[in-house]
Formats: sequence, structure tokens, C-alpha cells
Amino acid sequence: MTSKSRAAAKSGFEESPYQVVEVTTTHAGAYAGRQLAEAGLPVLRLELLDKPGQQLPPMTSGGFSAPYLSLNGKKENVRVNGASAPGREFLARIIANSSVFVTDVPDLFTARSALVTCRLHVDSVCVAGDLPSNDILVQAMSGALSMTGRLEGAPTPIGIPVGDVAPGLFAAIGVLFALVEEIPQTISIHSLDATVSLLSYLGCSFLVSGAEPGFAGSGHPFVTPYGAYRAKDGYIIVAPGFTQVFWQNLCRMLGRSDLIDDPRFRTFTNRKNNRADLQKILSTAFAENTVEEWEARLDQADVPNGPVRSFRQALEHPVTNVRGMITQVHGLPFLNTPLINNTPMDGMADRPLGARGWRQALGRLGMTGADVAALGENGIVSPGYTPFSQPTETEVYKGSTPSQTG
Amino acid sequence: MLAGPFGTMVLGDLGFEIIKVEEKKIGDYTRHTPPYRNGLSAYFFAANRNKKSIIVDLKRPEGRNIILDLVRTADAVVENFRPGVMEHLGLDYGRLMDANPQIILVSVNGFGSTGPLRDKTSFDLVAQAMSGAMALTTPDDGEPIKPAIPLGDVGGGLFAALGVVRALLERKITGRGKHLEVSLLDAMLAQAACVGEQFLLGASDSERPVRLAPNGVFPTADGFIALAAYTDIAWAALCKALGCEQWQDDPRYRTMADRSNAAEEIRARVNSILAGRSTAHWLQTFSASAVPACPIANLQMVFDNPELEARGMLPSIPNMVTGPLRTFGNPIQRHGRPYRAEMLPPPLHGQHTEEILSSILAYSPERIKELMESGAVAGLQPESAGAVKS
Repeated sequence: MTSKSRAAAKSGFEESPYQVVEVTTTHAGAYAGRQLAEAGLPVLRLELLDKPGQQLPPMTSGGFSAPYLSLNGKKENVRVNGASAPGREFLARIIANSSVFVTDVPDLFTARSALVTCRLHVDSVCVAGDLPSNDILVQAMSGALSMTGRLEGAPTPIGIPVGDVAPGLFAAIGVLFALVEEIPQTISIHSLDATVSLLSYLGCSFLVSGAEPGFAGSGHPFVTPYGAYRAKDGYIIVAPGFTQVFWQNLCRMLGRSDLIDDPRFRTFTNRKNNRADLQKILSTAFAENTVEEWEARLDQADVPNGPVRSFRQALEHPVTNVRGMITQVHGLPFLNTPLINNTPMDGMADRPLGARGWRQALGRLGMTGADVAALGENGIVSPGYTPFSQPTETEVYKGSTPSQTG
Repeated sequence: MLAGPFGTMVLGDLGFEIIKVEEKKIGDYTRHTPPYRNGLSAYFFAANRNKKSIIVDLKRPEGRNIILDLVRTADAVVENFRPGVMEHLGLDYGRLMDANPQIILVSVNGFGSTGPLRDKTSFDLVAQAMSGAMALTTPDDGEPIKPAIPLGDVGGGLFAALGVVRALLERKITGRGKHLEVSLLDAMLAQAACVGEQFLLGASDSERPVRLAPNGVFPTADGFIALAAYTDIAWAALCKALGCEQWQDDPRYRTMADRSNAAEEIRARVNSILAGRSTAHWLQTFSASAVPACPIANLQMVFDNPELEARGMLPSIPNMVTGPLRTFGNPIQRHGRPYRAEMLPPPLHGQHTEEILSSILAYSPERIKELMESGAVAGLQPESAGAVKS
């Protein structure tokens, strides 16, 4: 399942000098923590008993949350009774001893780690309430939904939770860069800011032209041809509009070299102004063959194209497996990180998942074996949700790894 | 491709010096993508602030040597050629390491340098279609809908930036560089990991994922409203605000999982009530009763948002071609402030060739002149100063 190169890519360091403590209740915060775990940093995630976090549906037949595995499968997960005085004291102590502290819980915005503190402000939009995912609201407030939808249609939520993922990715970039700088610092990310910063060319086009781009369906407000065309058995997207070479390749592939010199379609501007004519010609042409036939012919002619797949089909495509995008965590199939290590002769071994265990993580944060045992007996700390982070180590923590972060 | 430039722009925002290597004839093709203001493409503007541009002919040995000299002074190289092109140019990771044993290389491409789609051409739209992102966005079987955020490009770029800082951190500890690779397709899948995991775990047996409910965009009498009332607390608040307390007692809607399973039914019921009154009415009602909801902002509303302004997210960039232009800043703040106090405009094509050769590489004026005359490098291109594009 896992390709060799990707197994090595998971490894950051044989023995990390850093220990991350994550206390998050949202998808955004947990996604940030996941990226740090993927970068090889040991992440201890503390779940506050009074804030259930991301136990979001759908549940598997095993009775646990699928999103939860995706977000937290590579972390050490521990539950903490944060409402009790000893629980609060415990939190304060290990946060102060951590090298990185990531949180999206406003009550903890005064707490600081020894080196890098990362705060995610997920509630910066117009809402009250503790939502595990603010994605839809962030998408709406970012302007993205005013541009996502069919012509004459309705604003349509983006099916990828960009309002959660974007702040998570920026937070991870910020944390890793702060560790490189080695300057004690607090970084902060607002979900809305992170999402707005991805509006990219559509946002900038508004800045240069002053016009709202509006809905474009599967197409593009400025570039033609670009978008999905209906073939015999489904949709295929074609995107040759960006360069003259791709456009000419398309015309030749369709046996319509005449279009190249047709004054209606010669330039970007011509094609945009005569979009309706061009769409009519292309729609008629693409309706004649199957998606598979078109993909082969378009690839042959070097015209950017691709079949419109469902997510399940994308997962089942051979390329996904070859690239090692599906791996295993806790014996369960797991959608991997996209960063692959291509370094020749790197020799980095994979960090065995969960090998250190949460007791070891607490040891690195300055807790003695006796401390951990007492916290466990008093119900302040307990292992995280099954099937993850069930303590696999049977021995009591022996304190073999001194904390290197204090 | 926008992915590589977007990733390095994110790093430039954090204070990295970014040198953009372009070829002479066309340069970055997004320089020629409409719309424009005084010749500045919105596309190019969106991914190239805080950079310097040098024109080098990579196909000539002298050109390649200039790149290797730059690599000697650099921490990382980000490239987004098709697989095999860097090798063909004599700039594969082995050659880069010969020049600088600690160099980091991050390759961004469409489908990866291994596997059956290695040579297939990709763009944002291709990645969005083939990853399932468009299908996840399309609520029915009609024409697919493309997410307006170019998630293939910006996602690929963000993972590339993440790869650079991660490799820098590793290098700090191990003393070694690294070659990391990210494909746009894989970056798309990773952004959807949380949604997609349910397919891998068999928690969804249809082509469409199970979703939270009610959570989405709902029509009102005069427009639309975004509503996220899927938690027990928010659901109770919504039932009350709509005058439908009896829904709370309905066994089909009891838990979050129940409501997900009944998503279509709940949507229809909520729709029928919201359609009776205006967006303004519902925003006011929901605000008063703590139901998470908000309007659908257009870009003008985003630019008028005082919160964004206060956090420095709408900086104005000086620009000699267009005059000052506002843009979206970088969301990573240190001690409550953006990393960069001032943003620099995107470079003109070849604007910094001479500066880079003389000040970074310390080439003599004679050598620079020779390289210019031979065509191995080129200075500022006249067409980038604001010519009309078509």
C-alpha cells in the first residue's frame, strides 16, 4: 500500500527535539496539528471532556467518527478533565513545557508554550456558538460563494472544507517557520483571513477591473474555452484557453484547424467576446464520443483535460495507489499527506506511529511516571477515543526520555 | 501553473527573498492572462508580489551555470516543470546538491513523477475535476460546478510552502537537504481528506458523502443565507427561531448523525420556512437567537469588511504601472501583526536581472554584458511596461 518513498517522507527526525501540544475542538485546529504530525513532529492532542470536539458524522460500523480518524489518527490522543482544578493545573504545566502549543480554544489564548504558540481564531465570522466546523460560514463571508455556482444559479458551497483546511495549512506553515527562526513567538491565524487569501486571481481580477466575477459554472469568467463538456457518458473538462499552443492543439485534434484563423476566435479577447459561438461548436463536437475516448485523444494532442470523477472514483484510480495516497493508520485505511520524499539515499527511517505513546509524550513534557499514574487514578487524564491511542505500551512510563523543551 | 508561484509568494510574505527565474519570450504565462490593468495581469498579480524577476535561458550551458550559482546562495528551489524537465536541463537534484549539498528542492507537478499520469498536462481545473472536488461541489447530476477558489493550484502551492519550511527545519537538525514532491492531484485529495476518509472506512456507500445537516446555503424570499445549525445546541436554537420546536422531539433528527442521515428532508423543511421572509429578516432573527448564520458576501463586501482591514489583510501595494493596488494579505500573523509591514509589487519581466547578477552573484559588469549579448540572460522586457494585451 504505502510506497517506499512516502514511508520515508513521514519521518521528520529519529528523535524530535520538539514536542507539540494541541488542544483543539475544531476541524481547522486539528488539521493544523495533523500537518505538524505529518512533518515528523510528535503531537500530543488533549481533548477536553467538556468540549467534545470533532466527533462528527458519519460514524463507521465500528462506531467512531471518520473525520476524527482523518484529523487525529497520527497523534497521541489523551482526554483531560479540564474543568477540574488539577486538570487545569496539568494543562498549564504541560503547555508551558511544550515547544509548540496549538489551540483554537479562546479560554486558552492566554497560555503560552516555551517556544511557539499558535492560536487559531475560528469564530471570527458573524456567529455565536461552538461549531466544530465553521467551513460554510467562512466560505460565505470570504466571497468564495459569490463566485461558485451555475450561471443564473445559486451560491453553492465548495465541497472541500476550505474554510477549515486553509487556516490549518497556514497555521502549520507558520509554526514550522517559527521553529526554523527559533524566536519565541505567538502566531495567530483567522479562518476568514486564510480563506480570503486563497481567492487568488478571481479576487485580484475584482481589484484590477472593479467587476464582480459572479458565477461561472464549470467555466472561467475570462478564459474560453475552459470548463466541462458533456460527452456521451459523462463530463470531461477541457482547459486549452490559457495558451495559443493548447488552443491550436485542440482545434487540430477536432479536425477544425479552420478555427485557428477564424477572426472570432483568434485571441483571448476574440474567444471571450464570441464565447457563445465557440461553446456551441465545442458542445456539439464533444457530445459525439465517450469521456474515455476524448481523454485519450486530448492527451495525445496535448490539450489539458480530465474526466470529472466522483471522490470515490478518484480514490479508486490506480494513480492514487501508485502515489501512496492511501496508507494505513491503526490498521485502518488512511488518506495520506501529499508531500513525498524523493531524496535519494536519504536513509531516514519511518517514525513508527504511536511508538512513543502518550505516556512518553507526557514524560517529554516534564511529567514523572508517578505524576502520570496519579492523574490517571484521579480521572484527570485518560486515553483518547478508541480505536486510536489505546495505550499499546503495557509498561508504566519509565522516564527514559528527558524533556528537551523546558 | 499558479501553484509554484503561489507557494513561493506565501514564503515571500514571511520575509524570504524570492527570485523568480523566467524565460525571455513569454515568461510566466500568467503575465498574459486577462483581465489587466495597464498591462498588469490580475493572474500574475495574484501570485507574484514580493519577488524579483531574472530572465535566464536555461537551455544554454551559461544559463544553467547561472542557476547553479544562484543555488549556491539559496536555501531552496521550488520548480513546477513537468516531470523530467529539470533532469533534461541538467538541473536535477543531484546536480543541485553538487552545487550546494544543503539545498532543498520542492517539485510541484500535476500527477507526480511516478505513476501512469506522469506525463499528462495539468491545470487547476484538471486537478479539480479528477480529484472529485468538482463532484463534491455539485449537488446534482447536472453540469459540474467548479469551486471558485483554485484549490488545485493554491492547495499545491500551500503544500509546497509547507514542504520548504518543513525541510528547512529538518535541515537545521540533520544538516541535510531534501527533495520533496507534491502533485496537484494529491494536494486536492489531502484537502478533502476529512470528507474522503468516510469512503475509505466504508461509512458512506453512495457516490456522495454524508454531510452535516442543516449546514449550507438556503434560499430566502430575496436571496440566500448561509446556515450552520448542525450541532445539538445550534439545532435547538434553529428549531426555536423558526417556531418549530416540535422538530427537536422528532426521533429522526435527534443526534448529529441522525440529522446527517435526514439531510435532504431537513433541507426541504427549512427551505419552505426561510423562503417566506427576506435575508435581512432571517439574519436578524438568527443573530438574536444565537443560530450560526451569515450572508453570502460578494467581493465588495469582503473589501469593505473592517475586520479584515484592521488585521492588515487588505494591504495596498505600490505599483509603478498601475498605481497603488489593494490585495489580500497573508493570514499568518506574528504577535498580532503581518510579517511584512510593506508589500512589494510583482516584478516586471526581467526587472532584476542585472541587480541579481551583480549584487547576489557578484558578477563583473563585463561578464554581465557578455551574458546579455550572448542571450544567456536578458534585462527588462519592453512589453511588460504596460503594453496592450489581447
